[in-house]
Amino acid sequence: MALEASAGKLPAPRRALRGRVPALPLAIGRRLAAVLATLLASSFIVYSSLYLAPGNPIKLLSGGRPLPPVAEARLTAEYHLDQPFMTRYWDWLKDAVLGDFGRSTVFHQEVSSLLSPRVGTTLFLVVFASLLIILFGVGLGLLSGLGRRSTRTTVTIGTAVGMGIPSFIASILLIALYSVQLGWFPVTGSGSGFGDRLWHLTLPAIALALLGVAYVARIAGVAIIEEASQDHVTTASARGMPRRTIIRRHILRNALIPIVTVSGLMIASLIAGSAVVEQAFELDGIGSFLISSVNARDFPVVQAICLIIVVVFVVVNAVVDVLYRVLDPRLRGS
Amino acid sequence: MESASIPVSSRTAGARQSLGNLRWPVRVALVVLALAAIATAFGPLPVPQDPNHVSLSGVFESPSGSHLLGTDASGRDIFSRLLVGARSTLLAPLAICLVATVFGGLIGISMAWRGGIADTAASAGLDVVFAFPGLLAAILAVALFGKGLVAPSVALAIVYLPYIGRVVRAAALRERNLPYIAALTVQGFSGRRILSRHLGPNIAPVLIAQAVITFSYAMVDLAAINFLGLGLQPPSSDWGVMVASGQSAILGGHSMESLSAAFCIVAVIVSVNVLGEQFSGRPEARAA
Repeated sequence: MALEASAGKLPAPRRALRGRVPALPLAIGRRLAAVLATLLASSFIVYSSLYLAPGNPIKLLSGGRPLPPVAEARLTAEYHLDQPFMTRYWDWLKDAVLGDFGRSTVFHQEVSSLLSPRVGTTLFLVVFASLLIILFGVGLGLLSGLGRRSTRTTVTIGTAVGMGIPSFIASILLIALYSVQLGWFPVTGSGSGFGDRLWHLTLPAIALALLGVAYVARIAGVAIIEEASQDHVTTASARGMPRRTIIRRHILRNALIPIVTVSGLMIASLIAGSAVVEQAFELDGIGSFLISSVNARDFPVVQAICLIIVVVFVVVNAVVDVLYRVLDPRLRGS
Repeated sequence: MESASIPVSSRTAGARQSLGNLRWPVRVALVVLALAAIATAFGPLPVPQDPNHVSLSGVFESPSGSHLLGTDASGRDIFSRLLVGARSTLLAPLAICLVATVFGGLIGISMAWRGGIADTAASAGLDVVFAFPGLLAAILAVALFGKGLVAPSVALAIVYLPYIGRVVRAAALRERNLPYIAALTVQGFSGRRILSRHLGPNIAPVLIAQAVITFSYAMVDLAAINFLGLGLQPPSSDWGVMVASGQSAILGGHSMESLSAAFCIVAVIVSVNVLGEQFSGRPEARAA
C-alpha cells in the first residue's frame, strides 16, 4: 500500500488536474445507468407481484368474485393473459412509461384518468412538507448548532421527541388540538384554489414533515457543532476573520453535505408516507387512493401507484446522491 | 444510495456529545421499555377489566378508580386494552427486527468475506430492494396476500434486511482488511472460526445499533399499517388500531382512546431511539 502510494506520487498532481473535469460527469453517467437498472428491476417486481399472489391472476383482477366464462375471457383478453409473461410485462412497461396504466377493475376507467385529478393534492402536500423540512429543519439546526447551550439542549430534547412521532400520530394530535379544540383549521378535505388549498393542507403538511424536521434539525445541529470544533475554524478565528465569514465559509459550507443528504432522504420518504396522512385527513390524493384500491382489490391501480412511488423514490434518492458529489469534491469520481 | 452514509458517518462524536451529557433521558427510556416489556410479557394476566367487555351504559367515562384511563365508545376499559394490545404492537416489530438482523447480518458478512462476483450480485439485489420504501412494500404485500399482520411483517423484514446487510458488510470489510485477520489466516484458522470467534464479535456493536434502529422503524410502519386498517382489525386492541378507532370520537371531544394509545407508541419509539443512539452515538444512522 505505502509503496504504491509513493510510487504514484510524482505524476499524481498532473493526473489529478486532467482527471478532475470528466470525473463528475462520469460518476453521474454511471449513477444514471444504475438508476435505470434499478427502475427496470423494481418495475418488474411491481408487475410480477400480481403472479406471486395466491390463486390465478383472473381471481385477483376480479377481486375474488366468481366470474362467468364470458367475463373471464374478456378479462383475459383485456389484460393479455394469453400472452407469454415477459411479453405482457414489456407491454405493460411500455404503456406505463407513456402514462397508460391500463383500466381499473373497479371503476372501469383508464387508471391514468383516475390518477390525474388526485396527483395534484399529493404533489402539493409533498412539496409543502418538503419546504417545511428544509425551512424548519435547517433553521432549528442552525439555532441548536450556533446558539447557546440551553437552546441546544431544548432543541435536542425537542428533536428526540419529534423523531418518535409517526405521521399518523402527528395527524391525530393536530386534528385533536387545532381542528377540534381550537377550530383554527378545517378537519378534512383538500380545498380548491391555491389559498384554500394551502389552508386545508397546512395541518397535513405539518404532520407529514414533523419527522423530517426533527431529523434534519438534529443532523444539522450535530454537523455544525462538529465543524465548528475543527482546526481550520480555530485557525480562521485566530487570523481575525469575522465570525460571520467563518460561519458561512468554514462551518456551513462543510456542514451542508450531511444536511443535504439527510434532507434529501427525508423528502424521498415523504411520497410513501403521504398515504398515511392523506388517509388521516381524508384527502383525495394518490396515497389515500392506493389504500382504498387495496381495500377494493383494484390491482391495476395498486400497480400504477406503487410504480409511481418507487420511481419518484429512486429518482429523488439519485438526485441527492449526485448533489452531494457536487457539494463534496472528495467524492467526485468515486 | 450506496454511499449515502459516507459523508455523515464521520460525524459521530458530536451526536454523542449532544445526548451523552444528559443522563436522565437514558434512565427514563429504560423505565419506559421495562414497563413495555412487562406489559408484553404479562399483559393479558393482570388486566383490571375485561378488555373486550362492552358496556353501552358506560361509554366515554372519565378516568376513575375502576377505569384508570376511562372507557371508549363501546364502554370498554382503555387501560386494560392498552395492556393487552402491547403484545401485538411490540412483538411483531421485534420479530421483524430479529429476522432482518439475522439474515441481513449473515448476508452482509458473507458478501464482505467472499467478495468478487457474489458480492457485486448481492449488492445489486439489495439495491433493488432499497427502491421500495418500507410502508409501500407492506401495503403491496397486503394487496397481494390480504389483511393481517403476517403479510406486512414479512414484507417489512425483507425491506429492512438490506439496511442491516449494507451496514454489516461495510463493517466486516473494514475488519477484514485489519492485520489481525491476516495473522489468523496465516496461522491456519478456518474461515468459519475467524468469522464466529473474531470478526463476528467485533462487528456486533454495529449490528446491535442497526437492529435497534430497525425495531423502531418496523414499529412505526406496522403501527401505520394497523392505523390504515390494513393489518389487525377491530376489536383488536393493537395500539395502532386503537389510534384509528378512537379517531371518530375525537371529533366529539373524546380523545382519550386515540391519545393514550398514541402516547404509548411515541413513548416506546422515543425510548428505543434514545437507547439506540446511546449504542451507536449517531442519530443519522437512522436516516441513512
